Amino acid sequence: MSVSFEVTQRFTDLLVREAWARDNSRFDEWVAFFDDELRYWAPSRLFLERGQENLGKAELFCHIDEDKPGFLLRIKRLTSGLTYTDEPPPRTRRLITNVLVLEADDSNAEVISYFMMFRSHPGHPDESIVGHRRDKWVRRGADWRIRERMIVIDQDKLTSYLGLL
Amino acid sequence: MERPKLPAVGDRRTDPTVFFDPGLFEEEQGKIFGRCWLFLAHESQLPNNGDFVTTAMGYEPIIVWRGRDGVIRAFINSCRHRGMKICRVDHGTAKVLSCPYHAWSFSAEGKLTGVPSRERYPESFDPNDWGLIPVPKLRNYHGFIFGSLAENGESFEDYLGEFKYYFDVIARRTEAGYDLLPGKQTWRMKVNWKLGAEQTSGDNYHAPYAHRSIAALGFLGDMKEFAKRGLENDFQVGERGHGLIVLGHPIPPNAPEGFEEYEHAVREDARRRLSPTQANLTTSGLILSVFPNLVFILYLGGMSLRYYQPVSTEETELIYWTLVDHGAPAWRRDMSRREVGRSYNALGIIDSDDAEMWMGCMQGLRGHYRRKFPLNYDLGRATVHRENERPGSIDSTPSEVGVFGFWERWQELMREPAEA
Repeated sequence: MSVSFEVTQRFTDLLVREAWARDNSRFDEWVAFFDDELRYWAPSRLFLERGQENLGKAELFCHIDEDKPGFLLRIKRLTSGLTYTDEPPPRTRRLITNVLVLEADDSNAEVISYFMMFRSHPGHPDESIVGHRRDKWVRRGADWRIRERMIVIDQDKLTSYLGLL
Repeated sequence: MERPKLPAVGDRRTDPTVFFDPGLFEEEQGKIFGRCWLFLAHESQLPNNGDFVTTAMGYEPIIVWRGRDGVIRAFINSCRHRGMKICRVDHGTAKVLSCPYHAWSFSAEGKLTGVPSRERYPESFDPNDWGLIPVPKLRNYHGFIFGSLAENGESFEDYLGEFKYYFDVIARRTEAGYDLLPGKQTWRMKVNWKLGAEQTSGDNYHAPYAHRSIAALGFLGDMKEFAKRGLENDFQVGERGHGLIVLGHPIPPNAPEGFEEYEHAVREDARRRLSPTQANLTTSGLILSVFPNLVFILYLGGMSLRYYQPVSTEETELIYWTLVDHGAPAWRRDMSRREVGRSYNALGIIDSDDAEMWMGCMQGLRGHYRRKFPLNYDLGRATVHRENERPGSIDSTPSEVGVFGFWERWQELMREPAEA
């Protein structure tokens, strides 16, 4: 299906704003991007023979798999001032590119985007991770919210603390 | 570099150089990883004939493979011709694997079954002499497959010693055993493997402090009160380098309906296989380490399995899996999967704190001047005692009886001459 430039631009703009809120620790703003019916998850990956990888496999180990209450719990921890991994606040930068709207109508959309996340924190080497997200957006009144975010990480061995991606 | 003086057994001190010395690290490959029983795989990863998973025993790459006869074997993942790894994926199914380099082919039973240009080999070449190198000792203990490279070493049960009493609490928790869920995480962090292994062997002193953020969220209960709660529900054990921390019977915040009933039923059923005291422990919060590098954490509904894979003096891979009770209802299985995702991995709200501490220790200890000053393991009773039927050196918590037990065992093994 063809997606208009305006629709692609709308979701690009939303993703960029979301990243800006997160990278600047504006957690109230950031949380507002996520729907109450949220699933926020990152499946684990293996190197298997071609064609064998199945990220939708039942009961697959996930690096994270949270609903909205779990997501909020993690944010509460991150913002408590008590979390050594996040104090002093790390510098992060999320570069969001390759925005591909798979489908969109007036109330739902599915959008893929690539990310690179850079992180600098005392005691750690500066590190970047890359991958893509597959977001399912839902329209709530005037706003679009992320109802499902699947984060697919390309690194086989994680080498940094990833916090809440 | 001067070889660090190994501290005397029992003096509760450790020389920080043990985390940095490359000579010691190499020695560990033979004396620890070449000698101890190491976890290789769980039976549930290999349901069908031909199924294989790859893992490691120290430096040795390992393939665990269920033969066409249904027997599970383990081999060094290395072709007998030039040494190339014959298998380069995490798991799969095959009756035969061919080496990518010169295509020597090996059956799932480890036999050399195919050699290109066979006619140009001399008559003296006998394929029976060139099968995959088996891991010499293998033990499938209630689904947990352990291997040892010590051809003449002790049995797995002797290796556990009296700690078998506690290992059975996990291994025999239910009659049907476990499923190890698909997928894993590998977290390569800049720490020496022993910093992780000593902690999980018996340090819960750190919990209210290093994990203060989750303590504030109510995840840990009142850990500072542990010492006052006595030995019944909260205690620690060190035995032959293995360690156990028992953390009472915490109820997870927002536990699903049916959780307490489920755990109660597990406890009751466990009495058919275990003593009442052991059965009572099956649903406790448990951190159980099998020397040198395997850890089970059963806590708040999550059942996590990990091992510390040494890479170099200052690099370790933590390999994480999720366990669930075989035959448990879907919600109980999902509870374990989600809790392991929440707490025990690189994105986890518990393990990320620990990694931060271990990396900071490595940096704090790296300087040669700092290394002249020992680390302290005095916490807990100087003389440990045995309690009722419960074997091993037991102490109330917090204690470093398990942590120092890890070091005593490490020292013992490092002092023995290498096997011929």
